[in-house]
This record gives sequence, structure tokens and C-alpha cells, in this order.
Amino acid sequence: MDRLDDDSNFDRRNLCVNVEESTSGGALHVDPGPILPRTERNFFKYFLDGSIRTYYLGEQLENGRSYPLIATEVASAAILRSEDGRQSVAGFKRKIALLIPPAPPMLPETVHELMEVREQMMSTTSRFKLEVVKLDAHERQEGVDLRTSLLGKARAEMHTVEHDLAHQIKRSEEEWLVLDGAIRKHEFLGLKETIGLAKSFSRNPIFRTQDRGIIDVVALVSELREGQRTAVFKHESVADSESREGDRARKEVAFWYTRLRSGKGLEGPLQGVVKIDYHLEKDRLDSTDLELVNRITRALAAERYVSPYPTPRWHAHIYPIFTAENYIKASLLSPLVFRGYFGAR
Amino acid sequence: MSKGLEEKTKTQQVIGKTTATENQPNTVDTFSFWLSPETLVNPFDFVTVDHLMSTRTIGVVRDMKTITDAPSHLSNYVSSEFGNVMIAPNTNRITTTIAEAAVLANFGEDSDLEINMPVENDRPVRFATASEIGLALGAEDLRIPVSMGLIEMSNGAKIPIKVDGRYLLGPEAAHLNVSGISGLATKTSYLMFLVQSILKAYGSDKIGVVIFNVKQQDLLHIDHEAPDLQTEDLEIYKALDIEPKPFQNVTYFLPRGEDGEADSEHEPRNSKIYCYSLRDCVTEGRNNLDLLFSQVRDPDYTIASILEHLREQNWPVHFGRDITRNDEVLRRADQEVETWEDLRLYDYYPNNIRSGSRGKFRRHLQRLTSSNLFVPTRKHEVYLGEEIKKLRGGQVYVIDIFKVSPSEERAAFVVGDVLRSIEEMYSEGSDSWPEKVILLVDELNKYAPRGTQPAPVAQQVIEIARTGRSRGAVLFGAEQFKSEVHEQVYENAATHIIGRTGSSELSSHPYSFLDKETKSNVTRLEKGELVLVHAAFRQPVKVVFPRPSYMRQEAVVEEPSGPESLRPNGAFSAS
Repeated sequence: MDRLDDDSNFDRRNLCVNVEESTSGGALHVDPGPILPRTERNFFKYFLDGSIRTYYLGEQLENGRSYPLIATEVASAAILRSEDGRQSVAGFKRKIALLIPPAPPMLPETVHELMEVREQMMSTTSRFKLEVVKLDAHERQEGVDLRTSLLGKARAEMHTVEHDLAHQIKRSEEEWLVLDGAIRKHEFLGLKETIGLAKSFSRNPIFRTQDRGIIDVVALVSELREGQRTAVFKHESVADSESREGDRARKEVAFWYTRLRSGKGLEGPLQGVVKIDYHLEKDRLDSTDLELVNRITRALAAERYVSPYPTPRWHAHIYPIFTAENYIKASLLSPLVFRGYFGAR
Repeated sequence: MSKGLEEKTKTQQVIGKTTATENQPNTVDTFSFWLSPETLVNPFDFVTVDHLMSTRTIGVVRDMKTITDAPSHLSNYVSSEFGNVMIAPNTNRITTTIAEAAVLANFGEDSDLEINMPVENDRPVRFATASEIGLALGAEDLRIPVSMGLIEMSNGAKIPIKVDGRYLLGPEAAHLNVSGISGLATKTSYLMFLVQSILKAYGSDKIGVVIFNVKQQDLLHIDHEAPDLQTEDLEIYKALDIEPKPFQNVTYFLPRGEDGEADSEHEPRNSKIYCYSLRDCVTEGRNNLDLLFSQVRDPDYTIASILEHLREQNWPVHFGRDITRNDEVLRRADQEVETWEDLRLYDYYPNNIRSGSRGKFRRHLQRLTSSNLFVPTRKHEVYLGEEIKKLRGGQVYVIDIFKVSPSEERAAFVVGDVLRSIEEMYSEGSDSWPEKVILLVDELNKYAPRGTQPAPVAQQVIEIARTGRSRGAVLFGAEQFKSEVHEQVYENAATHIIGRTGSSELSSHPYSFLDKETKSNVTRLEKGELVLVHAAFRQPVKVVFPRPSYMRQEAVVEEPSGPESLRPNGAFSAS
């Protein structure tokens, strides 16, 4: 899902430029300094992840046309890591939604019937509230079926829950938050001292470099050594006339890559590499910005320990995010229970 | 949830919650619970879980495991940068300790309600209270409550544990066996503590006690105050409601030594010297020679046939002819066989007993009786078989066999003779005989060793173990290794006390009633800690007990000037 989200950041414009060229002389690979372990400074204190589970409930037939009925449970959890390295849950949010397509094709009678389902569920359990979420016409993706669009809507709902939770966490100064995945929506830009950390990322971006011309992401990171980072990049400036929703995130998010792991047990140059998104409005970074970028990179290098091995993508996974994932998985409703709410009709 | 239970749950600290998984479900007999961080729990702690229909399930912690979310050890290896021992984790792995508890009982306010169902998931777990433990161990039904020691819990609670005397001394069940490594298991100290506890519970006039002393002067000062009781000992005595005072009305029996003096490490004032003449052992209708030859190897039953012949005779027997040596007449025909020497010279056996067998018998008789313990005729000394029949309620007899012990055969003879005399006493019947007699026998493996063909002394011990419960003769036996004791002896014991024991011994058959977690805990017991397995308890429990309230060997240094000159040195070393 990280990569899917990141792909959307590079769907139209994928040319990226080095924004620290003037400060660090155009080097593509930078040694940020020694790792910054928690015992020295508990730099990243909060870790947030989201999860989604969708259920295909069946097809609704109306006037000779059909459309899918999809329900989803989305949730987000934030983990707090205390000074002694222990973890606890800092927050949890959940949303259960029935996703419905735009009218047409849905008839008003059907909408009414769905409202009855919602009432029935709320009478069955007071713990959960069913929300009916309508896919707006402009959200219907061109060239894809309705079901795929509804799943995209579910994903957007998850990001909303993540965003809401991230805003709810009361953080003091210097208590950084790590979001799992790329920064996808401009709402996330309002979060201070926050990075997006993607363990899988888009292969779409291409990079304009001083010495090597245009290179792709594999070429950029293949020579990256453990603990090093790449130069910081941003999308090439977007003309105001072409801007649309999502472009603010492209304009204001700087990103770079760092290699958490190399060597043993890895296959391919992208394994062990993570992408960091960070809100940075400037188009040219000064030495203060770079000091912060380096500190973030050094602190991330320390997150290798402990490792969630042997989970998939363990080489690029950090443990507190893995904990958040597991907490959400353990908190989501059992599929049997979930379907039971709808099967009661 | 009832109001009372609700309040209890609120006021007592919850230390964890029950957990049941697909692979590790809770069962009728066990349940698991995770522990909240920083909670200290140890094996043998008692815990309470709220159960169905306002009932509570009481469990005893048997084992604990700490788990993490690492699916394999390799995960941790990789987490340390593929084996870099210098790596410190930036985030601690999720970890918790899972305790496994064995179910002791389930009860509620409605006492008739019986629930034998596994406890459910996510139920709060608390340390059990004294009353809950009491209920779980059946304390409300005790007719004769006997203190067995103190349960010490990790939350600091110290709870007296009692059992019904009817399950210790009969008639419901009887006999007790203590085993464990010498010194660390504190077997004798515990048995002596328990005897004191029983005397208090029953009232001393109902109980007679016969104790064999097998270690120096270990039990030769039991009527003297203990000089070295510590505050914690006094607190335990107070908690158990037992007055820490020495034994009273004690008579010591010491083996005869040279010139008729006591052959003992210490000679208490209230002591008598015992020895054996032939007439003590062989009279009309009574023959204890089999006990004397009990441990003589006799694969061809030649000695057995001689003993059988002697048993069949009408005693006293007489020489059938003159016995001469070098023309000297040693014994005249028709002279009565009165002494051990007479018996050695006696030769009036049927022809089917060959001369070789007779010679073997004589040689063994010579060897066994060539001790100051065996005399032609007793003078001021006493015969234990007669003395034992004079035992009355409230009296304690201590029979010192330490100096006899180097010859296991003679020590076994003394023990066997006493046990047989008790059996005879029961057969004869006597109103003055105590209601219950406790026989405290240490080193039981010497007298009733493992084997299919028990020797006469072993048969005597087995007989007490088999039939003593109904008669009132109760065996409190102790040994280092239960596996070396005859199974009929330990299998007849309704109560087992186990001190620190090695794992190889614990893997033997006699300990098969213990689960592997309890066995593992037994190997780690500290000095003074014992595991109690009782017929009325569903699970083993761990107890501690105070130092004995009499003067032990370690607490005295005998002055060279004479007996009874004692002074404490204050050292504690329970034996």
C-alpha cells in the first residue's frame, strides 16, 4: 500500500530535483554521521500506522444494472516509545463504513434501505457506529471499474482516520512522529515534526543530477551504503495553472532515501532502503535544514534494532511501526463478526 | 458479579489477566495468565480468578514463561545485526511473562454450585487471599486442624496452611514420607516441627511418639530450649499458633556400650540403656532372630531354614547332647540354651540342615552379636521391646541408634524389634496404649529398601505402612531418595513432603505423581522450603516452617567435663 500511495505522488509529474545541490555540492550520497540511538536521544517518540480491511458484500441489482456493495473497517494506531525503550499505545481510532457509489446508479430506495442496515447495526452493538460513505462522482476513477474506485475510497478513509489520530496526539516539542508510508495528502502537512516513512515506494520518479543527468530511483540508491542517505529531492516546480488537489503535497514535501540495511539476506538494490517524506516548503535547503535531515537519518539508522524479521519487507521495516500494525490487526473485528452485522438482514 | 466479589476485585490489585489461545487453551485443570509489567510472581503463589456465576477459581502458579513477538531465535539474532553482541535495541521487543496455574478449587457464595469449567479469556487475576487459599485447601472442613507450615507469597502474604489430622494419623488416611537431599531438605527438622504441631492439635495425652536418632546427638536434646530461635522463627510460630517450646516427657534410650555404659554421643539425664539378651529375642511364642539376620545374604535359604527350625521349637530349648571342645565339656546335654554363646554352640538340628549351613549360621551369629549391645543377661539395662509397650499418651521415646548404625544390620534389628513389639502390642490390646503412635524413622531406605523380596525388617516396616492406619500406628518416614525405599512404604503414605531433590532422582518412578513443572521447581527449593503433596489437596503447595523449638546438635557444644553441660553456639543448620 505504501508504494500504491507513493505512486500517486508521481503519477503525472515524476521529475525531481536536488534541493541541497548548492549546499552540499551536488553529491548524491551523503554520510549523515553516526547513528543516533534512543539511549542518546529518543528522537522519534510516536509511530503511527493505519490498516484497512474491506469486505465485498455482494452485488445490488437495480433496473437491470448492478453495482458492488463494499464495507470496510479502517483503523489507525499510534505507539509511544518511552525513554526506556518500552512501547505503549498512544491512541487508536476506527471507522466502519459502507461504501456506496454515486447516484446514479443507486436509487433513493436503496439508500433508504442502507440506512435501515445502519440502524440495525447500531441496535445490535453500541460499540461500533456504521457510517455510510458515498463515493463522489469526481472520485470515480476513469478507466477503472467501480469496485476499484470504492477500494480507493476506502483507502482515502483510512488516511483520514490516520490524519485525525495524528492530530489528536498531544506532542511536546522535539517529540517526532513517524507515519508509516508516504505523505499522501496535504492535510498531513499540518503536522509538525513529522516524517512519512515508506518501506516500499514508487519507482516512477526520475532525478535530475549534476553529474549523471537523469537517473531513476534504482540508479540513485544502488550504490547507497548502509547508514548513508541520498540527496534531498523535491518535485520540479509545478506551474500554478496546472495545479490540482495533491499538488500542494508535491510542492511542499521534500524526500530522500536512506539505506537501513545491506548485505545479508537482501535481494536487489531497493531492499533495505526507505524513503523519507518531510514537509519543507523551501526550494533550496540551508545548512540548518540539512543538519535536521542528517539527524533524522541518523535516528532512523538506530531504528534497525530490533528487527521484525522475518516479516515481509523486514529489511526496511522499523519495529514500532510493526507494533502499531499488530495492534491494529489485533483490534480489528473478526471477519465473522463483521459479516454477521450485515448478514443479519 | 456479587457485591462482595465486586468490592474484592476493586480492593485487591489485579496482577494480570487470563489468556487462552488456539494452541494453548485453558483447561479444567490449568489456566494461563499474562502478568502486568513490574509484577513479581513466583511458582507456588496462589492466585484467584473471577469465574462464571459469581464464583472464583483458585490456582497455584506452576510455571512461567517469558515470550516476545519474535517468531524464532533467528529473529533476535538478526535484530542484533546478525550476531553483533554490542547492539542495544532502540525499541524493546514486546514481551510479557505468561504464568501457568494449576486449578485448586472453584467456589462461590452458593456452596452447592460445582463448576468444573475452564476459566475464560481476559479475566482479571489477583493474588489469593488467606480465606480463599483456606477454602481452596478445604480449611473449612477440618475436624482436627494440624498446622503444616506457612505459605509465603510473592506479595508478602504469609498464610498458615492446615490439614485435617484425620488425613495424617488416620482413620481417613495416614503415614507421611519426607525425602530430599541431606541437609538442604531439612527433613528431620520438619518432621519434628510437625510432631509438635500434631501434639498441639490433638492434645499431647492422646499421642505417643517414638523417634529414632540416627545422627550424632541430633535428637538427644529435644527437651531443651532452643537457644537460637530468630525473630522470623518466632513470627512463624505465632502465625501458626504454636508455642515454641521443647518436647516434654521425653525418655531417651541409648545403646549399651563397653562396661555397660551408654554408647552414645550424649547422655541425657532422663535416659536408659538398652541391650539384648537371647531371651529378649527368643521366648516361647516369640522369635526375633529373623530380624537379626534380616540383611544377611541367604540365596539358598540355608539360614532361613535354621531360623525356621528354631522358630518351630518350644522355647526354651535344651542341648540334645554334651558340647565338647578338646575334651572340655562346654555345655551339658539338657542344659537350657540361655545366651547368645549357647545359641552359637547349639547343634541339635535336623539332618537335612547340613554342617556347612550350621557353620554359616554360627559365623553370622558370632559376627552380629559380637557387640556390647548383645549381652548374656541384662542387668540395669532395659529391653526396648518391653519399654515400648509402656509408652503412654504424651510420652516421647527417643531411641538412639547412631552408634549402632555403622552396622546397618544391628540398627535394622533395633528398628525391626521396636516395630514388631508395637505390632505385638496392638495384637495383645491395651487400654493404656496411646490412641495414636507416631513412629519417626529416618533413613528409611536402610530398613525398607527397594526390592521385590522384602527382608524381615522391611516386612515389619511395610506391615506398619499397610495396616497401621486402622490401628493408630503411623509411620513418619524420611530418606534422601524415595527411589531407594520399598514402594509399599511410600505408596501407602497419604502425605508426601519433598525437599530439594536432584533431577535424576525426580525422574524416577516414585515421583511420577508430580508434574514436570513441579519437579523442576523442587530442584530449586531453598533450604527450609518444602513441597507438600497431600491427599486432600488437588495440587502440590510449597511451605516454609520455623527452626525447631528444641536444642539441636548445631546449637550445642558439649563440655568435656560431663553430660548435660550444654552451651549454645547460635549456628543454624537444620538437619
